[in-house]
Amino acid sequence: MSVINRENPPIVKLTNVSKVYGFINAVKDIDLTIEEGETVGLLGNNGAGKSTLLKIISLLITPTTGKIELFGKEVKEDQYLFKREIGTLLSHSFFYEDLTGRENLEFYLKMNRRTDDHVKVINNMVKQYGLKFFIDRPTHELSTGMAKKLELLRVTLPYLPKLLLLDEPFSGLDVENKQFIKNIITERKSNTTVIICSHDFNSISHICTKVYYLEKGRINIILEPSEFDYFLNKQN
Amino acid sequence: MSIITDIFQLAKKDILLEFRKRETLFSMGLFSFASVLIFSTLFNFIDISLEGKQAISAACLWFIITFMVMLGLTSVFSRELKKNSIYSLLSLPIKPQAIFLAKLFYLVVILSFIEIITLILAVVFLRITLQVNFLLLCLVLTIGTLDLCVAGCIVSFLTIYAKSKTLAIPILFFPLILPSVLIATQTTTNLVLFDDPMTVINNTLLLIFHAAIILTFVLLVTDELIGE
Repeated sequence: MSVINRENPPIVKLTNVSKVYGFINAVKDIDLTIEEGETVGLLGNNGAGKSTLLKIISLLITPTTGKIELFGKEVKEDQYLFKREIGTLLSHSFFYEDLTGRENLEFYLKMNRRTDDHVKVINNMVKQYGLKFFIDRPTHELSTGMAKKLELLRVTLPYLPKLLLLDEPFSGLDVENKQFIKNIITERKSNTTVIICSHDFNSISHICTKVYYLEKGRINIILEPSEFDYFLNKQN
Repeated sequence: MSIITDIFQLAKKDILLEFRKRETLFSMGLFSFASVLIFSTLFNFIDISLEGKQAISAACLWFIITFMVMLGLTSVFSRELKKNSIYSLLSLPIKPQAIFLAKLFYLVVILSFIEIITLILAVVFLRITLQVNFLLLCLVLTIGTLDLCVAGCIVSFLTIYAKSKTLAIPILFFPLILPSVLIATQTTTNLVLFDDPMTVINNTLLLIFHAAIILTFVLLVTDELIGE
């Protein structure tokens, strides 16, 4: 069963979404519409509510109030059907550190059911990205950059999901690894909607088609590409 | 069939991780060996008939199994919670029930592995005789263990987000398993001493009923339990 509505509706539509943790309003009354193919940035300082919003969109947490529509359908029951079309990369690793990179990737490929030929997909990927020396090592032995590369491949193999959600994908990476991640996002973004969380406008401004600036759980500013330079100068 | 594949894949990953590190298996095995040794030493110092020893041994066996389940429970979600990555499971496009049943399957597998060793130790050191109906003894042990594992997995699910698990787990676990442990102990004693198949079958049905009730309940509310 597919959850994708074929009449080209917004990929993500949040209506009046709030999330409360105890007495803290992590996200307040968010209304957000993201169209297919957009690369959207969620910008804000620490504690602004970016990651909470990302987890709500990826259906990892349930909002306290509000309505979520993904791929044109309201998310109520059977959330697992929507998750087939979503790839989520959070700031902490999803990998089991005592399994090797290959075992982890195989596990996620099998669970996501995106391909039947796991071995071939992983071997191709190893050749393409030169991961031969890292793929068969336990993931806790990998460097931050290498682990993040593998994490990104976890959500993008063998093809990009309909909705790709990335939380601080560039943090702790060197220039080469940053470029690797940017390439994966930009090279194939035409049919995939990408949402990137970051506190650093510089790192996402080149790849985003729209940026939402969050403050204290609310969307304060919506930036279009024409306003990026102005905002960047203002920030600096 | 996809839910069965999901359960198998998830459980396989947990079993592989456990056999690679062997942390839980080691602590369960060590506890089992030490307990059998302590009870066996105790039997050498008290003047008690063979029948009495066998009756106490059956109780000891269930005491050991109960605490082995407790030790196993700590590992059920430990790998996901170690790095706050319960989200790794939640992000998968699978039914939440598959997660519960996979964790249950994992717990049953590692417990069965250690239980076989415990049974051998119990026969050697505690003199539990196997001249009784061996198949019935296996049935009682299997159903009793399954019942404890179901209850244990429910407790693990309920305490996923609990801050003080060491306090929450025993408070929830012991009241839930007390009827099962009492019935299982009584059944095993009955089997060892009197070899009365009817009582054993009736009590085993009670254990199945207990497991079925709590399993049905938990499968109905898994969505709520695993969601934040």
